[in-house]
Amino acid sequence: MDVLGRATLVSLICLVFAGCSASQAAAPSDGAASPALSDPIAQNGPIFKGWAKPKLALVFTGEQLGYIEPCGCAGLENQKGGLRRRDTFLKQLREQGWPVVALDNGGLIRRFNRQQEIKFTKAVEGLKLMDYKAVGFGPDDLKLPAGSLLAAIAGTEMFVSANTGLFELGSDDVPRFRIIEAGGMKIGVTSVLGDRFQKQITNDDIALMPAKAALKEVVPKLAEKKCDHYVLLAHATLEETTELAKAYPLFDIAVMAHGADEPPHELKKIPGTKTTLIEVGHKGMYAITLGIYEDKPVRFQRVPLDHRFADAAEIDELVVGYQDELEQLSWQGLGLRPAPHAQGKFVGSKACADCHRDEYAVWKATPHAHATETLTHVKPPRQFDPECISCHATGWNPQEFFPYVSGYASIKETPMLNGSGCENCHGPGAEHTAAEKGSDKTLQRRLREAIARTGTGATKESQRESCMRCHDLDNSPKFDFDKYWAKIQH
Amino acid sequence: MKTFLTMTFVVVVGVLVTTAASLARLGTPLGWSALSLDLPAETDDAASRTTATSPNEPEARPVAVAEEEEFNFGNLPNKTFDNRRVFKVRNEGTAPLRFTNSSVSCTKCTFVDLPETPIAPGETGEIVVRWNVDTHEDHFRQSVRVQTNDPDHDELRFVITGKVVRPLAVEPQKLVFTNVHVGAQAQAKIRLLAYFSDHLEVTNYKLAEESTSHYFDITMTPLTKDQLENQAQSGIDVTVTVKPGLPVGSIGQSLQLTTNIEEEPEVSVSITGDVTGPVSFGHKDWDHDLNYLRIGHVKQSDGVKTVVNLIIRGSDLGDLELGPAKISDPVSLKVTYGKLSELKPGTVVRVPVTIEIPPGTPLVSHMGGPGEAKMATIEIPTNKPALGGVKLSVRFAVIADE
Repeated sequence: MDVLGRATLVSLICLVFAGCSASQAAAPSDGAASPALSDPIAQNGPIFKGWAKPKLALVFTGEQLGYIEPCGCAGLENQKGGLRRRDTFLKQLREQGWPVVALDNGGLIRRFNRQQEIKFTKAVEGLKLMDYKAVGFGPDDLKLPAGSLLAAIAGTEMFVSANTGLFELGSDDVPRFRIIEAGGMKIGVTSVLGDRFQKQITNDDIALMPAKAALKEVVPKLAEKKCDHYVLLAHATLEETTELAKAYPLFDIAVMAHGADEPPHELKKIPGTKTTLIEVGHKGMYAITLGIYEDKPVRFQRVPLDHRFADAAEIDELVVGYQDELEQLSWQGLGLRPAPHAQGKFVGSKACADCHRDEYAVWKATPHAHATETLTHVKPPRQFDPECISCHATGWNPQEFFPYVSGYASIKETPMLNGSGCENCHGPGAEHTAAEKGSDKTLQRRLREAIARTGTGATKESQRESCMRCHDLDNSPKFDFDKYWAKIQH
Repeated sequence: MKTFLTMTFVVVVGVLVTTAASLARLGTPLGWSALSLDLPAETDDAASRTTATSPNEPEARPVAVAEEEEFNFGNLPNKTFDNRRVFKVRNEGTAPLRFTNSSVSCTKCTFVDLPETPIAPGETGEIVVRWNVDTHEDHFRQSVRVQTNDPDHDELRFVITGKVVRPLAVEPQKLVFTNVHVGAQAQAKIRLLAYFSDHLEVTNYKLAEESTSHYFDITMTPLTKDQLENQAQSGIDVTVTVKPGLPVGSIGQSLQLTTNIEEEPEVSVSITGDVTGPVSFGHKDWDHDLNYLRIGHVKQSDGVKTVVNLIIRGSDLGDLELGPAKISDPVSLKVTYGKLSELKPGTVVRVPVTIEIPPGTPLVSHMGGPGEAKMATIEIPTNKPALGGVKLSVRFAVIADE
């Protein structure tokens, strides 16, 4: 297949069909016909307009939630985020001679499994490459085994927490506060995990303390350091962050968590305090920058990490290494155990063609049929990534990223399950196809009815929800059931 | 670089227009003004809104004045569609005001309808922002950017915010039991909150994975009024107890609850985690299920050196000592211990174990696959009979340089 043909195929697949988190799929856009990249500045606005070089630039990120790459596979120009772009952004600031201090409010991963553990490690490596100076914890970070956390963060000199620790509070690897010197200024930083989020952690190896009580111990020690600015990285709700800011006015900047996906366009103070509130949004799509000047007001810039920032090569290596690691580990090494599907076993779309020839012909002509192959063409290839393959092959749970018993194993082992096949929407068909070859009419009728419940017998809403298990907001932002259905109608 | 070229250009221009910008900041026609803060702050595109004013411009020109730039919907039930806010824009100029382009922060959930005809001087146009609530998040903020032909306000921004409420909130939606020590009990809670019903009931529940369901206890406790949060009307705490006896390895279970809430009759909460023995290993390449260190292929001239954090738990580890390691392939593997540190006095000890395959090690395979040599093993004796020796396997192969 020539490059153009492949690009078209890839575009079509991401345009119409299977979703994934393989953001590198070379699709132009979800639903857009134009092969040209959109103008990110027109889309998301200019940045740093009218800024002079600040004495210090504080860059805040957080709640990356596992998105080490831009979220979704709907075409890079539609997506924001990813460590590659963030690295380029920070490098650009530094190349301009700006003293930059990067701080992260934690929440590097979401979910609990072996893949998240690997992601956490890669994310930490990425933050270290970007020279982060302080990083807090989110609740899912602390659900990982403490030994694994320790292995990932030991010696990085980035993590900080007033009220959480690996086995103990205030260890060398996770001190209770950090003092950062840059741009001729001293910045005192600590972080807390909010009490509400602490309730989610059932991990005896994690030392926890209520946030307010922990700050009571830490704030006097921070104050002794006589810093120019004090930053509280609060992985806490707005309500709890507000309470902490009121209780500890030492902090002139507080970062909160669990806000909206999109951070605000303006800086605000926490009502009733002098503390400036920072919201960073979700999935690492934005980097919030404060420019601090000697004799001018502080400036604020919400930086959308869109494709105005090129991919940084050093992070690219890290992402390639991540995919390599997934490949080497295999599903088993990732702790993925096939789970039984309530409707039985998978048989592959070709078996459906014995009776449903017309429908099969429609499917075969759509990019759904090539969804697995698509993943082999992207850079780096993603067919070993559970978060991609779960929508790009047949017989996986698309939202929880695990295989069903008899579901897709690999391109070679289960070629009949390559592509997003009939059974992904209609359910496993092994029993149905076997029954049709027998003579038990009652069984045939019962199994036909089960299949019909996902086809002609389904409500439009349930069909739409079925599609949206893959065509979700991240991976198919322009998904419109009526328009998309017309392309695969059968 | 493009960004910084732009920045540089703007800095130069900015010097020229500083005075005008300062005046503009006192109150632009859009109502924006600099905040008075100890850390004074600006909007992220303040400069773009306040530069290039030309009060003495002789030609006819439009002037866009937005009556409101942000609207808070307050509480919106999830899965409600086509919520609308009309933002009014008055043309205080002398030429027709046109909206030339628009973009939204979320193409799937936020939509904008612009006036079809230009707004005549003195007239007011309506920009309709529509928002579909279908999200897992509790809060939302979306924005719409609209380009105009007003040279001073060539872009308007409208923001909608609010809180999403659901008939039934489940927190957390997934339970994780990390490092449940084998033979020990662990407990965690799920809180169910009903926002539109004052009588939440769990009418039935079951654990999906029958083979391990007897290791779990489920209890329900209705919440008192004082325990209800965020205007919830009723609630239940579901306590999940992992009983002793689950074997070492991953936990995979799912709790399926049936409720009396019409919109959310079925709730499924996954229960994951792991059960660990008295020894666990911390390393990014440690396989917790199969218990081995995965080093993989090592080039002969490179060698490799890595540290595994050995975490040992017990009741009396204050005087723990480790003996010399017994290595199945001492030619390829070298093992040294770092300093023992008590993470919890007497009960949890950490030992950094350095494993090295020195450069120049003869070619060998310990990949452990079919037809391959077994993985290398390391046994670390201890002075604690109850603990015995600590065993670990290492999967690697020394390969020739390319």
